[in-house]
Amino acid sequence: MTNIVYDDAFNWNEWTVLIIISIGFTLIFLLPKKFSSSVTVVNLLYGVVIGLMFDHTIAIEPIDFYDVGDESKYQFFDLFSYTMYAPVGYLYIYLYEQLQLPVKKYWLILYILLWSLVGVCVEWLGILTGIFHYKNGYNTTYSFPIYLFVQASQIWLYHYLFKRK
Amino acid sequence: MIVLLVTSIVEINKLTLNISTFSLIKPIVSNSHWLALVVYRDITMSVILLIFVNVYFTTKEKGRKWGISLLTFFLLLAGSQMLRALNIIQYTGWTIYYEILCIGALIGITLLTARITTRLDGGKTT
Repeated sequence: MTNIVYDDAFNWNEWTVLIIISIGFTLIFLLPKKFSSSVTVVNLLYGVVIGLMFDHTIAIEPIDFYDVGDESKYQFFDLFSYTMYAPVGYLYIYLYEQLQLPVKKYWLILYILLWSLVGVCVEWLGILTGIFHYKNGYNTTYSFPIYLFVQASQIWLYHYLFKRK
Repeated sequence: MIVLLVTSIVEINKLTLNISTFSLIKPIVSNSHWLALVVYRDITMSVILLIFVNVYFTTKEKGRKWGISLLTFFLLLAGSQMLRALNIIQYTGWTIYYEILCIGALIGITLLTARITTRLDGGKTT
């Protein structure tokens, strides 16, 4: 497997990851507590695991649609960068409860569409800052259905685990 | 659920580090083989570990706990060797001894996560 080196300095891509993690976890600590420990841990881990699952399925050979970080090789900072998905998963469910969407069911479609758009925009920011490097014809719009699926499944999982009577 | 998520993180990283960073395992470059490997990594292993941890913590006898641990260990070992036998992966530096150590560590991590998880929210599990 050939290793492509995109850069070898601590620059914008690393800073973007650190800024997203800092903002995300600051928000979690500042917002009033709404969930029990297990709900919090599941929602924090869900984003990380789904990010890992998709990246480590479609972003390594033989499919290899994109690289993450400074090199195509998997590095320690790449592993750390998945932490940035943790607060996103939590805030997604937090806002879902805050807006009382479980009782306003049709608004949920709009909610998922909006978060998927946010996901695409953040991914585009990731391209600009060098977190992601597309290969083999991949582009940002292909991620949109993935976001739709991931976010819809998180809502389903949240209801299945914690809201079932 | 937390056990499933934690074991997924460990297993996904183990496989990617071995394939991409250290080149100790080589996947056979075909999409169907890759899909089989991903299904094994993300679903089969996690489900085996989830069943294991549930049976382990609902069994009271020590002998049975050892039995289910050994059965899980050999199931995971057989699974990994089946991937080799079916030419889905090739070892290029990785050995069966490393695999045994990793499976042992994974079972340990699974039990530890389950133990911690059962203490969250005063014993209510997810």
